[in-house]
Amino acid sequence: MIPYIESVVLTAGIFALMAQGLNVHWGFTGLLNFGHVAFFAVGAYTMGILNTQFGVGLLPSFLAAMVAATLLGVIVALPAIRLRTDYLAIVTVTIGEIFRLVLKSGPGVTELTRGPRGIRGYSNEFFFLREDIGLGFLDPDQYLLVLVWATVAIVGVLLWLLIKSPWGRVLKGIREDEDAVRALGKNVTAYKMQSFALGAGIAGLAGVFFAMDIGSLAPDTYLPIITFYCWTCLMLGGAASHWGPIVGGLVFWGIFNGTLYIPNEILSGAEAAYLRQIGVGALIMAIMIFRPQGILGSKEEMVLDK
Amino acid sequence: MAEALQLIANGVVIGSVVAVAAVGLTLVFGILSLINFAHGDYLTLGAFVAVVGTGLGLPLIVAAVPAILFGAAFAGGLEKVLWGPLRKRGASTVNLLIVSIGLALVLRYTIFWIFGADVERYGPVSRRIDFGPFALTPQEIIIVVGSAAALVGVALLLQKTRIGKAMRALSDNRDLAEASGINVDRITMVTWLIAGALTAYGGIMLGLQGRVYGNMGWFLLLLIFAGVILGGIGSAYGAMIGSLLIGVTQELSTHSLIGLPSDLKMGVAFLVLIVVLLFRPQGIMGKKQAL
Repeated sequence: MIPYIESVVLTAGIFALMAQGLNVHWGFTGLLNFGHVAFFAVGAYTMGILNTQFGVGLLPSFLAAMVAATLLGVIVALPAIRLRTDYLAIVTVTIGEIFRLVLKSGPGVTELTRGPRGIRGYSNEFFFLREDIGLGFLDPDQYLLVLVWATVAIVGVLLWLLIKSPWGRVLKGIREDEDAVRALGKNVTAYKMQSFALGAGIAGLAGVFFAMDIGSLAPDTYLPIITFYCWTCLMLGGAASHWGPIVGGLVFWGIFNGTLYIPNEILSGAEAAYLRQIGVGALIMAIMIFRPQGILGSKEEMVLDK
Repeated sequence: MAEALQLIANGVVIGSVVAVAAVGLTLVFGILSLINFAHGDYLTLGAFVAVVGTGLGLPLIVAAVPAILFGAAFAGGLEKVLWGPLRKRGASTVNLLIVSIGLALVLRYTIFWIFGADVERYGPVSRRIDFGPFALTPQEIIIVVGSAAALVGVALLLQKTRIGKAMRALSDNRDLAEASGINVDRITMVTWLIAGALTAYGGIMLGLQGRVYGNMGWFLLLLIFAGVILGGIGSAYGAMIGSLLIGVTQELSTHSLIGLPSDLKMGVAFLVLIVVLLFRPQGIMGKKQAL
């Protein structure tokens, strides 16, 4: 039971963080982003490459990961925010895929990313550090879990402050009625860029923690399904709610990892894997059909007609 | 040059399959504003129903008939039980899009559950026939000719028949079409039936190229999307042009003069899509006022 709870809480924390970034995009600004996995990947790879190939220390490579993801957010936003919603959804998915394919086999890039062979050995320093900061009594997973949730808490508080600030109110204004905000003299494009950058940076940090959890970086980890899982966590918990990503992450991974414990006599390994995905799909449909605002979301704050 | 011609021929083959699927997707989009992430899995489903037929010893051309009918019935059935009721409850485009992601997972892994992870085939793929500048397998020729026939059929339907005109009118302006007495529910259902049949047909074409497996439609989905939005969402002719462009672009990117690894070819196609959208955000044939 304890390993189950730990695995759920750890993965849920990582996806809650990632979904907090998506919440900035979708929940608070109404920007449709289906390429979130790209920011997750760029964070992980920036940290991994700097740490293993250039000997950059842990903290600077964490920061660089966030900066790189933020920059990618700006770059993606440039073509993306000119497009209407339906085009944006598809273009962001393709951007995520371009990014994965380049990591895997881009000429020149593979010298850094080692292509499909991937990168290992960046996490030792991170886990050794737990003795130095007085968390030596925790095992590596528990230590990662504590750091992840501390980050979720800090990011949550910062987002709460930001969103209720005048800046955040402009974002919500854009979500409700872009033209009205523009009529008030606000530079909507600039705000959308900032929203994209902020959400991407948060996802980059989530990507670093994810990389620490799985211990190696491989391009094919970063498939569009990761983005869909993240969306499910957000929509399940409730977009535009600060607790939404957290509750959604815990419930989603609680169910998802729970299916790992179905005994083999009832379902064989492959069948259980199929059934898990069918369950995820059915869950996504059920939320959207029966409670489109999610567990904690409010109908008033739900993004309509986008 | 010889290499380029062969790559273009390959591109036309894959582009033809994408075009058949893309026209179905874009017809539905034009009328319902539904971005259907499950579309690729409708394709897989069609291909597998045909596998059941060929497994019973039927020739593919016979097995294709029930598969296409099943595809139409399945798409129409989902409209009845899922999409129609959701629209009546006022679900937003994004709500529907996310429902389709869930549906895609349910369909794909149900197919895996029923048929397993093995790769199926309709039959052995024959050797390539040399046409001088390029060579294609007989299966690939059937794909190109068969897809072209289906696309001409769709074009005739849209241009010449009453139902096609009603579909175009509905896609152009829903309110105006409704006001002029077009039965929206009926046209919506007809559109789904046509899209479902086309998609199953596209799935069989894709399977004919070599393999039938659970992820086949999903892996093609992003190319289908790219063809649709490159052409302009809602435009059937745009989808045909866009899909062929996407197919040819991705194959040409592997030309030895360009020297990109073939793993990257889909990425190149997507990149071209993004560059085109930078200059023409509504796609090649898309309507500006729809923005």
